[in-house]
Amino acid sequence: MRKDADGFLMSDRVFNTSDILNVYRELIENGKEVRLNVCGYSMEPFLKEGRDSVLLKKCDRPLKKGDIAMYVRENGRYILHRVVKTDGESCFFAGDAQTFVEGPLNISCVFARVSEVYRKGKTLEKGDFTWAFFEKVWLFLLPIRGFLLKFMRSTIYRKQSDNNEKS
Amino acid sequence: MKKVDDFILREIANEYVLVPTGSAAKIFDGIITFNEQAAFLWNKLDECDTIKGLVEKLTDEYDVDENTALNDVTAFIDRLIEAGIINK
Repeated sequence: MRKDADGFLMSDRVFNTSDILNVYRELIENGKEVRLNVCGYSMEPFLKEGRDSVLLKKCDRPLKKGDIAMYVRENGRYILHRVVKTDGESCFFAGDAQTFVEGPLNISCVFARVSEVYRKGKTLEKGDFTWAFFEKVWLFLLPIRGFLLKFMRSTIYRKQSDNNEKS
Repeated sequence: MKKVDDFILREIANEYVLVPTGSAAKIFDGIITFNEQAAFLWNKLDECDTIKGLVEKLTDEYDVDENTALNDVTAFIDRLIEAGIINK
């Protein structure tokens, strides 16, 4: 098994990510649910590349603040981010690792929402603690995320170096 | 032999991929790549569910002798059963 630059596991072939996502999009629009391995770092610390995946389905209800949805940018790039704000016609998005908010985007570029998350080997659904934490608390903390992430990283680093000293 | 529901075959740039959807997507993480012959066999699985029948289909369609076809079909089916994509 080898892994291509975009994070898809292949037996012997590497496909272009957008080719795969075009197929996924067609399946989703026809009412199928598909599972996508997370690519990139913008949804950390909730979703991590190489560890987590998500189940995508058609938007069967209006999008709400806190939903994770997939949309396509004008340049054809597919993005999986969280809804920060929506009025039903347009939508603003940000990744969980970001403080930058993208939008307004027309709701017609959104074609799927996340209905289940496979995180650290566990299945999460709406209502689970971790899901709710990122959907509500982490989203509310968006303006100070940069500071929080820096603080979290330095604490982890300090703990690790403390442990190293002890041993 | 019977296909497990919810696996869908699609063509991408002259290659084939088997995408798990719905209940299969909840169990399988990733996609499976097929070459042209594997995709052909996959499509024939609906109408014919014996190794012998599949070998016949393969030798009718492609320029391949029966022994090679039998080995290929058996290996293909074994891998699919092992992966839980078809049931015995």
